[in-house]
Amino acid sequence: MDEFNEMLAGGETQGMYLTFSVGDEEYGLEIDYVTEIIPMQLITEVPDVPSYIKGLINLRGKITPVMDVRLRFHKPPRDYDERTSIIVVTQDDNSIGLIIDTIRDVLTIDDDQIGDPAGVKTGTPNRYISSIARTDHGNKLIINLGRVLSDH
Amino acid sequence: MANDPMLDMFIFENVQLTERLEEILIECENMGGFTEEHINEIFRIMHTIKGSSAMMEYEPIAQVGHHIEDMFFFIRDHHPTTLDSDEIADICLNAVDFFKQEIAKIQSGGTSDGETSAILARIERYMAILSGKGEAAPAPEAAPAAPPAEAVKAASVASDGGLNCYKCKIIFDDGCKMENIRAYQIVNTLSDYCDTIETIPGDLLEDCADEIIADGAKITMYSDTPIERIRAVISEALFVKSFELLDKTGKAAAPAPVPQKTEVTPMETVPAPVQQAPIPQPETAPPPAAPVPEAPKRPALDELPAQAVNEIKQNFISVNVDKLDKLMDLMGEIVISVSMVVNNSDLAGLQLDNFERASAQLQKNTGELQGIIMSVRMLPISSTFHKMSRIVRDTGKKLGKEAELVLLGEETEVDKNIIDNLSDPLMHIIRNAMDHGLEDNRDERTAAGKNPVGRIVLEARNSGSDVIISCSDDGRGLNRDKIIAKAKAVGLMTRPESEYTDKDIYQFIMHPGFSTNEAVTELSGRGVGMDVVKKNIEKVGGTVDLTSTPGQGMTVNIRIPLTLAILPSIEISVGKNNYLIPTLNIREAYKPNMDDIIIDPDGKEMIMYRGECFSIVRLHQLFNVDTEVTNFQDGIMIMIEDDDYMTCVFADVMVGEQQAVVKPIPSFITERIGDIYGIAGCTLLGDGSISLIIDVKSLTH
Repeated sequence: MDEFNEMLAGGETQGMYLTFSVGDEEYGLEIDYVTEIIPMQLITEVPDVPSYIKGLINLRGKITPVMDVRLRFHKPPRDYDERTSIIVVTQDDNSIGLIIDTIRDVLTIDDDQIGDPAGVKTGTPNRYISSIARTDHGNKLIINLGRVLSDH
Repeated sequence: MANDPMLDMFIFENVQLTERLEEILIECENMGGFTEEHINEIFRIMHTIKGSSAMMEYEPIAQVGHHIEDMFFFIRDHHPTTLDSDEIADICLNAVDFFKQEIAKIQSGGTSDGETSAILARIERYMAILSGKGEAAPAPEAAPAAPPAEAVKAASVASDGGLNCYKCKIIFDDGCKMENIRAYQIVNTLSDYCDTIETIPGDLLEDCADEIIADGAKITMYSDTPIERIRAVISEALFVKSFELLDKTGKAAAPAPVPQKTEVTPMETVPAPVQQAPIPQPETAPPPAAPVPEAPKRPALDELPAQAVNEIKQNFISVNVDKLDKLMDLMGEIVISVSMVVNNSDLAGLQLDNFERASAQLQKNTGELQGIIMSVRMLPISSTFHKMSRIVRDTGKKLGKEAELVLLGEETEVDKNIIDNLSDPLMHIIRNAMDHGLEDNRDERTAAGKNPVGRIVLEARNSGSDVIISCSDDGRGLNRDKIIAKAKAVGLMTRPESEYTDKDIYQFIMHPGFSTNEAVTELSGRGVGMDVVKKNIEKVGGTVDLTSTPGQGMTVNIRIPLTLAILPSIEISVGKNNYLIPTLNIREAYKPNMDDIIIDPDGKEMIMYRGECFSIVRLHQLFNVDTEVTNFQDGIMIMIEDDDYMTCVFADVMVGEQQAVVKPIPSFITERIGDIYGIAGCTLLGDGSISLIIDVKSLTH
């Protein structure tokens, strides 16, 4: 996990993606969105929220909401284990934690490897996915973070 | 020139100065006259306002400041025998209002463009009267508004011909910022007295602050003004740490007295010229004759006055509140980090004597640090109180009522955030007291056997972790019957009249849109007063209540927390979750007796408590938490109250006391689902975990 955070701190981020898995699929997230990766934390539950919002964590004194990406993608819940991680992303100065199954890698993906999911002709594209990248490490579903975080 | 820090500084300084000015004026008016000290201070304030606004090119402010400064210059130097202090106070308060209005314009991004002619004309009219009465021979003062300094200049140049050369080096306070602008400001002021001024660095408006910090601002001036006057001007300037002022003309001993004589000549009537000439310099306050024997020493360094000024100023610095807020936040985090380290579970069971000792020391020091940071944010309430003097004066004049305002406990300290929110409510309360509370005229008061002059007492005092601010008047008091009649008409009385206590009934007047005053007056409008008071006070976590004795007046009691930052709370647990309830809102906690539980046909659970019936809120149901404690006798009942509304909440167990630093629920969550019912915010606990704070208000009402 530390090595990922070191990579995040490094300079050039153009075309770099953080890849992780949720269930059987692997996803990619543009690294510019990512602040850091932290292990699973103690979560304080908040009443009345949608089930994919798990609650609040203490991120070095900052109270930060966390979302379970698995539940957000309507996949069946599963227990957290030692590989479960939280990707902290920043949107409009607010930090939000994304709980995912396993962190995979940081990859550089060229634009010509990325295809429009509509072009793949697999029926209706998932609303949280903006495109699909074909890499040497297999296919990665590129996340549309704005949609994942939006309240629809 | 229009960069923000300078504008901020200008606004900050001038707001403070106008407030101080207002205080002095009210003080003088109450004393029925101006003392020499007051006149000097007003003069100094006006001088600074004039200087800074001229520098910022706010011409109208500078003009008004200049004219008032002239007026006080005249008063100070000529001691007119008949001073109409009312008229002077009126003129100055007018000017104060004008300044405030202009500063407000500037603050909202505009520029100062107010109409000054009315104020200026009034000042000039009064100056004419003053000089007419104060001077045996009014002829030389035909144009009374002309600055006396200029008259002096003209006269002395005529008789003397030569100019003195002064050299000055000014060092500014460390870190006062914008040293070049401050130097420019001084040069600007000095130019009133000097024919030629040269400075090193040459152009002060260029970015040369570093140079000034390193070497000081060096000013060479050619002037016919006595060195004492120049000295006074420089020592009045803000943020001057020290300065050297040398007379380079070589006739150090002689020149000082010479211009003094010429200065006096045109005035003719003043009997003791030596007494008159040296400009009083309040900080050093030498006996009037002292400058003459002192004069030979002048070419040497003269640090004494500068030091005196210095000592007064260095005790205070102004700090941006944002920085204090950040400091406060950081402090909260440090307290939590410390306890995370000290109580770290990795250390459990280890014998660590040295570590224990070091961590005890760390905890003690952070505790002290926290105390100091809290105290930095605390301000005495006096400035807010003094603003009220003005309200009493103005409303009194408008309504034709006389009232004295007694201020008690003005040194009581309250958090800065709270002070900012107190001003408006207090203003409403005082206006109400003046308008509705006090009898309409002296006769009515005399008939009631009271002092014809009304009396309003504004008092602040500490009470535990709260501050109580009360405002009482000795007027008619609240009319219970009138309030009941109105409450009925508006439809607020939902129960039979006999069930209401006096307190309930008085509480009605804080209901939105409630006013027993039929006529809408200019001062206190249509009953929007008291509900605004209540809202504003509640915003800072306070409460308002009223007491009244018919015919003897009423009292408004405001109870506010000392600080908003820390909320003493009781921690309770439900299932695996912990919640906090503010200690203030907890009436009692007890193991319920099953005989007291009532369940109505809808399944709604209630509990009998001291002969009254209260509904029960099961927290595990409200917050949808799994817990094994679902039988009332296994858990605990906590009676919470807010504003006399009470409810019983049912929790698993009480854990202990916590000092909560209240933080809002992140907007990511509230944007989705709005405010969470039953939750007021969250906080970090000592062990680094997060706890939700229960919103007592929404659960009880």
